Amino acid sequence: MKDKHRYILVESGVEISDNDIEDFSSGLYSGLMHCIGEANYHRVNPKIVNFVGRNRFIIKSSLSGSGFLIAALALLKRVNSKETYFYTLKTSGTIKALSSFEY
Amino acid sequence: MHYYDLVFETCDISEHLERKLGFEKIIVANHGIDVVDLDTRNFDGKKNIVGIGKNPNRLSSAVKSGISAVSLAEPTIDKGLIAAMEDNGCILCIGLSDIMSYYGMKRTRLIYKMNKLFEYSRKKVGVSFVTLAKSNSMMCSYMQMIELAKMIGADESYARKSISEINEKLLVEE
Repeated sequence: MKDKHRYILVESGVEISDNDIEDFSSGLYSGLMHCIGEANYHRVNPKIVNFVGRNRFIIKSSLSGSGFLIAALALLKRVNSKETYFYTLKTSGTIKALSSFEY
Repeated sequence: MHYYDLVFETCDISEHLERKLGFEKIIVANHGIDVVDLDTRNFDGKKNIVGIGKNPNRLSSAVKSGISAVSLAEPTIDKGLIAAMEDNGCILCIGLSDIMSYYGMKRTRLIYKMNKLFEYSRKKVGVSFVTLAKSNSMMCSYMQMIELAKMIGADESYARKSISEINEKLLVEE
């Protein structure tokens, strides 16, 4: 059976340069693991699929776990020892709808 | 549905930020409605205020004087205070920035206490979820507020009602 998923457009409080993408991604997953908990992480299964500009990215999660991910992104205030914050701006079933988000 | 949040003056709010985060309006403290620490300041009789404090006796007397809302600095259940709030139609504000600013066991403990407070209060008073953020890093979008409210124990419809209808009652023209 095909897994249903959700895409979330997220704005980060710090800029993410091209050189930092790998470090940032692994730091974010580790922070999310801490906030969501090892027992529930597989339900969310987050994965960054696209970076949009310097401080935005699109993250994919399972449909049923997207609520956990949105809450975890509100709680996460530090990635790789850097203070930051994450605003979830829009959710959609397709990447295309998020790429055209104006604000 | 229109969503509202309440933050302190130290946040940098613009119309662009309001739209980006999905709010109709981000209410800034002391611009319409005042947020007053009733542990350190005496209640001056003004009614359009959100009283913050730990001392249930001081909060109760302010509630009986007709203040709009109360935010408990320590989320513990005081049955007398909740009863006074119920009698006077006072709103209970739960500040979400507290759970964003702590980590680990302290945060978990706080979520547990907020959950107990919410479960007890929701049938008696209107419970409003606001960030009460002191900086932009402690703010969040409306959908994050809904998910945090659900984490505290609200169901989807109550979380949405709280952030829209109940928070709208805090909106006071300057």
